[in-house]
Amino acid sequence: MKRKTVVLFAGLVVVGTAVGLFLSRPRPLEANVLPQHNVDLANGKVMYDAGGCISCHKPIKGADALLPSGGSQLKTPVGVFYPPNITSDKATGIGGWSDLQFVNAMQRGISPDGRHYFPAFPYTSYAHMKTSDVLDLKAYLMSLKAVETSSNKTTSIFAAPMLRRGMGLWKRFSLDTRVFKFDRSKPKSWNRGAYLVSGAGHCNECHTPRNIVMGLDFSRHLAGGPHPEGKGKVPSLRGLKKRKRFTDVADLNSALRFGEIMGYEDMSSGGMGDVQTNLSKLPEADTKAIAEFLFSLQ
Amino acid sequence: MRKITKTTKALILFGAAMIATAGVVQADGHLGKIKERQEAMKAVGGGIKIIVETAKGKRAFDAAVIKSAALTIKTNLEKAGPLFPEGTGEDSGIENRAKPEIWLDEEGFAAALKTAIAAADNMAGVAKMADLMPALGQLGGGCKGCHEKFRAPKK
Ligand code: HEC
Ligand code: HEC
Ligand code: HEC
Repeated sequence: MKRKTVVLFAGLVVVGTAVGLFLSRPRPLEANVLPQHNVDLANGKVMYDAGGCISCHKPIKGADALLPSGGSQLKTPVGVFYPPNITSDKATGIGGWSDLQFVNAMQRGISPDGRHYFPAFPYTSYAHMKTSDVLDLKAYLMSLKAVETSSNKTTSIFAAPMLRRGMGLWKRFSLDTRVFKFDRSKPKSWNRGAYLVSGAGHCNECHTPRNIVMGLDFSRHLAGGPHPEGKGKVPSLRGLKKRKRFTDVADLNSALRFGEIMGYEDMSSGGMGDVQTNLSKLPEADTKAIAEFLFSLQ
Repeated sequence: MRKITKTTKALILFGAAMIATAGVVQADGHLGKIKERQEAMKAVGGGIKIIVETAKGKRAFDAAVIKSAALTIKTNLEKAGPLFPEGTGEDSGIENRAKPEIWLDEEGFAAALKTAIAAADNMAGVAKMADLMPALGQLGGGCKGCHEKFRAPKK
C-alpha cells in the first residue's frame, strides 16, 4: 500500500515535470512572420521614445546618458534587475542580433539562446506592436552609437534559471500576443492613441491592475491599482473627464507633454516622471492621440 | 526582600512609562513635522498654480504677483527642508509620501532642494512675459526632479 503510494507519487512527479517542461518550452516566432519592410528611422525613434527603453536600459554613471547601454538597477518586488546593453555593440550589446531574434525578444520574451525573459521587460505590452514598428525600432537602435560595456550582471534573483523556465508556464496564461486591432467605428487619431497606449507605451503595465497570477486584468482596463513596484497606488486613467482631472483633451495633452513643468502635480512620482519625459519627445500629434483615447474612457 | 521587589517593580513600571511617553512624544514630534512639511508643500503648490495660470494666459502677467508667488515657493521650500528628520518616511506608520531614498541619498535630496530654491529665486526676478516660460521650465523641473526620486505615489 505504502509502496504503491510512493510509486504513484513518483510517477506523478515525472509526468508533472514532463508536462511542465512541455508547456513551459519557449515557442519562438518563425522567420516567415517578418514582413517585407522598408525601414523608417523616424518611426523607429517614435517607437523608442514611446517605449521608454532608456528609462530601464539606463546607463551607469559616467556612460553617455542618452544611449541605452544599461547596467543601472531596476528594483522590482521579485528582485533587482540590471537591464542589459541594447546599443549596437556587437560583443556586449545587441549589434549581432538578427531581426527575428529581436522580434522574438520584444514580442515573445524569448532570448536568442531560447530562454524566457522575465516580464520586468514589458514584452507583454510590446507583443501588441506591429512587427513593422518593431523592425523600425531595431533599425533606429542600430543607427545609434555602439557602447561597449564591461559588467554583465543581469539579475540578483534567487533561482533565476529555474524561474526563467517557469516563466514559460506563466506566459501560457498571461502573454497575450495579439497585435492591436484597429476599431473602424473610431477616428484614426483615437486608434493611434489606443495603439500607442497598449503597445509601445506599455501604460497598462502600471495603470491596469493584475489578477492573482499577475497577469493584466483587462476587465479593469487602465482602472489603476496597487503599484507593481511595491508601494503606493497608480491612479486610474478612466473617467478623467467626469472626475474633472483634466478639463479637455488639450489640457491632458499638455499634462503628457509638460508634466510638472506646467504644474500637473500627479505626473512625477512612482515612475511616471520618466514616462512623461519620454512622452515629451513624441510628435505632438501622438501625445494628442493618446490624450484623445484616454479622455474617451468612461 | 518584599520591599526590594516592590521598588524594582515600581522602577520597572516607571521606566516603562518613561519609554512609552518618549515614544508618544517622539511620534507626536514626527506627526507634527510631517503635517508641517505637508502644509509647506501645499503652499508651494499654491504658488506654482498662480505662475502656471499666468503662463497659460488665464491670468494677466503681473511681475509683482509672480514675484510674490515665487517668494512663497522659496520660503516654504526652505521651511520644508529641515522637516524631514530620519524616521518620518512612508514606513513610519504615519501616512505620508516621503521615500526612504531621502535618507539613503541625503546629498541628492539636499541638492534637489537647492536646485528648486535657486529656480524659485530666479522666478522672483522675472520682469516680462517672455522670460516666464524658461523660468517656469526650470522651476517646474525642480519640483519634478525631487518628486520623481523622493516622493512616493499616493497611498
Ligand atoms: C520597465 C523596464 C524596461 C523597459 C521600459 C524596457 N526594457 Fe528591455 N529589458 C528590461 C529587463 C529587466 C530586461 C532583462 C530581462 C531578463 O533578464 O529576463 C530587458 C531585456 C531586453 C532585451 C534583451 C537583451 C539581451 O541582451 O538579452 C532587449 C533586446 C530589450 N530589453 C529591448 C528593449 C527595448 C527596445 C525597449 C524599448 C522599446 C525596452 N527594452 C524597454 C527592462 C525594460
Ligand atoms: C512605471 C509605472 C507607470 C507607467 C508605465 C505609466 N504610468 Fe502613468 N502614472 C504612474 C503613477 C505612479 C502616477 C501617479 C504619479 C504621482 O502621483 O505623482 C501616474 C499618473 C499618470 C497620469 C495622471 C493621472 C491623474 O489623475 O492626474 C496620467 C495622465 C498618466 N499617468 C498617463 C500615463 C500614460 C499615457 C502612460 C503610458 C504612455 C503611463 N501613464 C504609463 C505610473 C505609471
Ligand atoms: C527636495 C525635494 C522636493 C522639492 C524640490 C519639491 N517637493 Fe513637493 N514634496 C516633496 C515630498 C518628499 C513630498 C511628500 C511629503 C509628505 O507626504 O510628507 C512633497 C509633497 C508635495 C505636495 C503634496 C502636499 C500634500 O501633502 O498635499 C505638493 C502639492 C508639492 N509637493 C508641490 C511641490 C511643488 C509645486 C514644488 C516645486 C515648486 C515642489 N513640491 C518641490 C519633496 C519636494
